[in-house]
Amino acid sequence: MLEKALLADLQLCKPRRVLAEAWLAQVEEEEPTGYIRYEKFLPVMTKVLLEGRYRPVPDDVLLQAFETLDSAKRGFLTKEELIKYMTEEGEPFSREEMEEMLSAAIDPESNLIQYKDYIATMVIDDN
Amino acid sequence: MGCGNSCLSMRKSERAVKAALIIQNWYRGYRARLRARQQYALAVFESIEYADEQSQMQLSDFFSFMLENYTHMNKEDPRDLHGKLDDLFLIFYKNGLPSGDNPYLFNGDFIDRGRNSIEVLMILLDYAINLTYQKSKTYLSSYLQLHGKKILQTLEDFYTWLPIGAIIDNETLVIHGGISESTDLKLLHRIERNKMKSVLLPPVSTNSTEPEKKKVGAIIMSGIITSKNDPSEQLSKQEWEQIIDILWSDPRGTKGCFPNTGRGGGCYFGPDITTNMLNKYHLKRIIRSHECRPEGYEICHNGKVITVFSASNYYENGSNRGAYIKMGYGMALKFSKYQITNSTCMQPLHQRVSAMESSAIRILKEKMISRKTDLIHAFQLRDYSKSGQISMEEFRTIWKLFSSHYNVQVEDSQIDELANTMDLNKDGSIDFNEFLKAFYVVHKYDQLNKSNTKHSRY
Repeated sequence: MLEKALLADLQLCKPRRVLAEAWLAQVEEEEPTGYIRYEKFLPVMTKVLLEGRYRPVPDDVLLQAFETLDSAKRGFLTKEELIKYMTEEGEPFSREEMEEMLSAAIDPESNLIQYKDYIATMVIDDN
Repeated sequence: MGCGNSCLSMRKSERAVKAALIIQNWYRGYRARLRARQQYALAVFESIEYADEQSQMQLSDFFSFMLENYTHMNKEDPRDLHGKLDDLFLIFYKNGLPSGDNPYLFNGDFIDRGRNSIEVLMILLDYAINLTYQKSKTYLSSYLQLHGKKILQTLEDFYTWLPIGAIIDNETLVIHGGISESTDLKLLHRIERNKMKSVLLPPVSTNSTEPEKKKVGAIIMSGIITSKNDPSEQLSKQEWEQIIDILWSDPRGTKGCFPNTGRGGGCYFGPDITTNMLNKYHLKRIIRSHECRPEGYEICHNGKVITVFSASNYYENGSNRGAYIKMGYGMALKFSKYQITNSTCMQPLHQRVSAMESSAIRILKEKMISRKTDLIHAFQLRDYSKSGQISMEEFRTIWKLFSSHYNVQVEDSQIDELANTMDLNKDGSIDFNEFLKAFYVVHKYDQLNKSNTKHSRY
């Protein structure tokens, strides 16, 4: 379960670049079956992530993205709006992904997503 | 002009799509990193747990041996154990109490490390639920020895009668650990399981020239206990190994069957082993437990092996969900996940992962520190005025037993020196509680003897 979620997340992230990298050779099986074993994959990928070879999206770009969706420039998105965008556009979220994002992003009192604050929290936590 | 409104709105929605994509990509990357951290925190907990298990096995075995020979040890209050009674109540609440129409099967380790071990055990006994054999009897020994030998004896006998495994509806094999390439269900069915007194005591061969003489069981037999180890009262080596495999093995992705070095017993078995086994006995799947899983259960080996783990928050609050499986004849399996403590259940993933990481790091630090603590320091830390005492004479004899048991040469003068150091108030006796703790610390330093006491196959 865990490994599928992890692989799915990374796949949707940067599909082509991942495949092109040389380190892919490290995770392949001795007899090439065309599959990647999770036990081999995890340590190599973790190292890649730690070395920062795949930097997350920079904050300002992220902020701009939210602001684009917030056409009225209110400084927030409503829950419905975020759900609509995330589950209907781009590479849509699954229900689980949507729920998870909402649990951290939504301000329970106003039921709104104050995206500036949200980005700020996420950035701290990720480092 | 050319474009007009439609063009403008198209550009706008293009931008919206791009924006959505950026946010989605970012979020998925973030989640991936979180999950990698979660996986590593769990790996830390697991490796500490399994390392602990091995040394616990060795230590517990010695305690049992001491119990046989030292019946006048003083009684102590039990250590603090960690609770899983809440999980049990939750399961009963959601699914009804066990009865003839509502049968349950508990796949082992139901009281291992539990704060409410005894309560859980009593409840399960009360309902006479199907119970599959489990290895935690060894931990039960160390905790219960302080309550009274008689209880321990009765429980030990009770445990030896628990079934080793079960087959449900002629298609599902339920065992605690796993299988090996040589698992023989017919043999397991025939085994007189009550002869398996402990997973720690391999059967002794009567041929005195075999190197096995040095092993755990042999040493005990060689001098002191005679009545229980009559060969007809023991399992054969093959039978014993079959049971160990069932109780201790773990499934892995790699093909084949390898010694389970993480646990020191059983093996790692691959998908090919599973397929062969299931085909051989015309079964559809294996349900097992033995390993903690973040989501409470996990399916591997192409859907043929299911791991189910029912103690939520096993390592730490928020570390994992618990799960159980509901089965009906001819129905698909239904999985249910849960997590005790509402507060951690609803927490966003990053908070749970942070909590786990802090906990894992803290435990690692503690382990590192305890290794450096010497005997004297361990003693000096505690207030032992309430505890029992052992006399110097007893201490010396215990130490001699220890040295013969583990084949370590210890000089009498060294023992005296050690005893005197431990006897801080110089009244000729040593605090028993501290002895146990110090003993554990010493044992960890005892590199010499690890190879001597390992499971006979490895």
